[in-house]
Amino acid sequence: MGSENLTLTISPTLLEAMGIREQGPLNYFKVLGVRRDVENAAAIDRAVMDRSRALRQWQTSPQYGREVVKLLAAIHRAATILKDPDRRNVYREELQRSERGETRNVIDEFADLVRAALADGQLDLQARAELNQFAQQSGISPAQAQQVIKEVGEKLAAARSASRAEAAPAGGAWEFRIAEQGEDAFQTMLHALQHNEDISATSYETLLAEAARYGVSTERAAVLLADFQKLRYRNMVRLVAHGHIVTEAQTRILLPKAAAYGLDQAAAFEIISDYTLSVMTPDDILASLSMANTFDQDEIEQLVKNRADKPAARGKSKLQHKMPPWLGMGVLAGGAVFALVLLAMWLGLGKNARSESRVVSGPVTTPTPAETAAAATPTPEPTAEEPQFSFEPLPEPASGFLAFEPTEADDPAKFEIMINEVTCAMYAEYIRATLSEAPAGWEPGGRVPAGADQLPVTNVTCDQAMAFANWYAGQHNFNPASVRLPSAAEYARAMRGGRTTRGDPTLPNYWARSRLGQRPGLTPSRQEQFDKIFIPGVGQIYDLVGNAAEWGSDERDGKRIVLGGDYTRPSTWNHLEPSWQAPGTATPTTGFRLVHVLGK
Amino acid sequence: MNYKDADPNSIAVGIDLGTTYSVVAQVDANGQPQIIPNSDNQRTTPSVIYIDGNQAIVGMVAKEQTQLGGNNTIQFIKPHVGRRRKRFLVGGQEWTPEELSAMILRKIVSDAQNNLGGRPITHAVITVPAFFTEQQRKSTEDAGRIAGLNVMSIINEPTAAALAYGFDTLGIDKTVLVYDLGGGTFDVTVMRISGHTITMLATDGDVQLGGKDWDERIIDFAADSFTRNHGVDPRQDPDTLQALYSQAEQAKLRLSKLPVTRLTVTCQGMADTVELTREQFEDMTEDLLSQTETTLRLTVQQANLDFKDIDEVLLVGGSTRMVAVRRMLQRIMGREPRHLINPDECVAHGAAIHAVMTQMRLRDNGQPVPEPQVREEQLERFRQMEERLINSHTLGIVALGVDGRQVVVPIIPRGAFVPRKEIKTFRTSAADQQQIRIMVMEGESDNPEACAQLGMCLVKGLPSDLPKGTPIEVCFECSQDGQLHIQSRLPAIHQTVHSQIARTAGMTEEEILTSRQRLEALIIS
Repeated sequence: MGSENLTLTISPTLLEAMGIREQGPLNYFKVLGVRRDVENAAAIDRAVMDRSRALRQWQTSPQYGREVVKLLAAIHRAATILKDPDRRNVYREELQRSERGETRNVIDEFADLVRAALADGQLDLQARAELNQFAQQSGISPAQAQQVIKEVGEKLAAARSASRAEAAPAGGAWEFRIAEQGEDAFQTMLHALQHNEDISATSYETLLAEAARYGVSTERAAVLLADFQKLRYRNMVRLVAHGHIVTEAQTRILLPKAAAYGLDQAAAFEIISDYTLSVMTPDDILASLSMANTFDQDEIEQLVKNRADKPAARGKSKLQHKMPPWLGMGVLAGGAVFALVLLAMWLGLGKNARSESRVVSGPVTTPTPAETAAAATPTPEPTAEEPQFSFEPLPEPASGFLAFEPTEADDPAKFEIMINEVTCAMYAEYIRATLSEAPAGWEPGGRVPAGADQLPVTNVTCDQAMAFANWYAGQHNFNPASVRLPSAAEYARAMRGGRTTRGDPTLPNYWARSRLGQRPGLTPSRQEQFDKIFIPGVGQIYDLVGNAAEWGSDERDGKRIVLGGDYTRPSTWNHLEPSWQAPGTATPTTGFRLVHVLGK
Repeated sequence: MNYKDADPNSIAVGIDLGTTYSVVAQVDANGQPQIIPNSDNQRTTPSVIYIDGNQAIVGMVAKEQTQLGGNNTIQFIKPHVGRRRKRFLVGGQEWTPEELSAMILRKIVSDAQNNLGGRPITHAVITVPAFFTEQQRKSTEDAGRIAGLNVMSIINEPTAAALAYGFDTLGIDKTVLVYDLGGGTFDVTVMRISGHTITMLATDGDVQLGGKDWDERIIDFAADSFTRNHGVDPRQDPDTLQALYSQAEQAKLRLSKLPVTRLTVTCQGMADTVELTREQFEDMTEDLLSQTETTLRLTVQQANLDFKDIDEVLLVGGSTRMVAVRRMLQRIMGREPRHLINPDECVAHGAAIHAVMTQMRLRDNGQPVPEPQVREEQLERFRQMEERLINSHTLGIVALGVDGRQVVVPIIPRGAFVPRKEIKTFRTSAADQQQIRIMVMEGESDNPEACAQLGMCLVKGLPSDLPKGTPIEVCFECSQDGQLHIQSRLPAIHQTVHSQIARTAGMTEEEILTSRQRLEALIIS
């Protein structure tokens, strides 16, 4: 059975649909509702039929359909195991062990770390520290640890020599033929050095001198060497992971080794995260992220597509049962959190990390302070109070959502809010689909005025905004009841961004993490203010304060709330101060955005 | 429907647009359905596309190209059809699933035209899995329109298979079960053939289950063994993985005939030969097979039948060649399933038969569709034949329940015969309601979250002062071709209220035109 997962994690809605009252990860017996001492295959078959019948009703659900497909497969997998007496016994024993709190395969996990530690043949300080800590915490004796290190070392050596033997040219040994010239010959020489494990012993200057002998310019040689070092590092990561994702602990060990490859930590992290994404299937990533409910599905899909659009990742949907136990179906916090950290890096921090990532000169040197400073110049020096904020061109208004969870007792329940105000382009699609009325100032035939596609739609009444919300829900397969205009409380929660405490909302700079700027690339007559609230590690949200004011869902005396401020307001305006308008009014400075309420 | 005037020379065909393979068929002058081969003289064409610049290659050459890796090829498009915002990056450009499906249609249709002496194919019947939702059906139709075809009808694959089978054995009463395991889809349908009438009794399927899943188990087996021996996972290498896909498919085919087979995995200069026995293969795919068994049992229950009531089992789809599938069916049915029809071709055959039936029906209604190419004395058989189709998902609308929660109220239940017209009365929930929103849902649960939204009707411009609880009649009409028309009426003001149907499914004329122009810029071969 190997690393077969012991439990299934099922969303509460589907548990309810199957009539299972318990929550949390459930073992196979509980999922199928059979006793642990079940011997009767017919009872298991009946349970499978019952569960399938209930689940299949949800196949059409836009929200749960994907989970249903996976769950139907998982239930049949579970039943196959429970029906086979031998496999059932193995499963039951493993389950009991894990319930007694014994960590499964501690030795295997330790071996994973050792493989990372020994990947480049160096047992450096960081690696020693990680290994010691893990061994102590998991109760692995020094003798056991030594044994594992010896075995892993031998396996790695064997793998290396096998790949050397396979890759060696006919005749057995690599030959250096200086007579051959050009980049190809130079690269062959590099690979030869790598296979003879001489590369770390050869200084950067020596390699540059070699390049000259091959007729390769110093500039080109630097590029080739940089690529080559990345390739070597990637190969090492691959050797460590061999098909699994790279764990956090492994990453901690692998990052310091980057210096030996002339790479900085950001470049190394990118290689590791690239590898991890290439191993996870898009579905797995989506599954672990949508459980965290922090990102808009589309955004994730886009990320996944950009970062892992490789046949290797696309083609494999059966991988989860070979992943470490904390990922896959029985996903525990660790896996999801790590994936989130990775995505967060790409969303926000990663941008800066990438702009700095380059190969420093020389295989064993670390960047000098001057180099670090030079690399950092493209982004402005962050100020002390607002370290997370960075200026950059505003992206095309996206229709994505950002989720906010309650952090104070009377915060609104978890919800997602649109990153941008609804644009004219989005509204035009709605008009076309529903034959609704176009806002004042639009071209005949319901066309958007030239250049205004990506501007917020304004001149819409509150009723029109609500009708749009209904249509939008249908378009995106959301439960219609869950999509609406934001309440004042939700709006305020979003403006708080990453702050977990409420603070003093009467202060004029309450939206302290936001900045006003000019939206670039628009026609001069409608240049608007935009603002961006940056939430560390999560993303950013635009125009809560500036640009158009926005319809909200709160009602008072037959009037509807208007939230935020529009671009005509002075910057001293208290942007939490709402105004109230009759729901039938439409003004050129009022637009809207939507929230999607998560869960029930 | 709005057809162009039919060219007297033009003809109609039946098309099986599959996940892995596509097939075109036409009924000949003797009333026999015949497969029309492609330009390579193959009866089936792999549903794989290779795009480079303005050149698009569909079929075997494209399939071979997948082994080279890269972003120029695309396959397994069908499960994505109908996902509105799905885009594939192929050959440096983004394509919708409908555009890609249209490329496949263009290729197989133009090959068929050449094989029929250049006579233009203007009309077609296209098949879809029975569980396909309204949106997926509409998107399939859109793909046909992008490819320049008039899609006369979209029919279910198992229905087509049963038509092909029933057509030859009319007059013998029997109950037939269709077990359709294709490359990426799985369908079960129970039907009754009685006299000249084929009646569907129940149909169900699994959204994502097909031969591809079996292939992936073989890939995992081979790759795990390689990883153990060499410490390198060949699945990490995109090119090796593509090669593994075709190796696994071949190995699966061989295991249908041989007790043991070998795969060679080559990766990063290392090579490994992995031996796989049929027993091992069946062991590692047992759960997949049992998933089809569950669906099979549930569908037979849904038809209120027992396995002993089933007279024949029809095997459809290439994956039914697996020995384990036949053994499982034998165990359940108590006798061996007979190889009555060609599993790869019967769906296209049935589509061609259905095309002739539709042609006659539409022509009788005075519509300009091409004349069937069948001799008059043979046409009688088609005229006598009758299909009683059912809809595969419950259709309903969202309303407020007594407890104030939103519920889906079914209007046309699953398994209802079509064409069908149903009227249900609802009441307004507030006084002076100005407009009424009718949300059309598809699914088997009363929970709106479990169902897919098909579209929305907005009844606007109601007279003011309507009291709360004013009755509104909602009428669903499902046509023979599976199309849904919705009307609503306010008896209180004695007139039908004009309702606008905002279809979320389907593309606009403009979008279809744009896509067609994109395709016209391509040389498809």
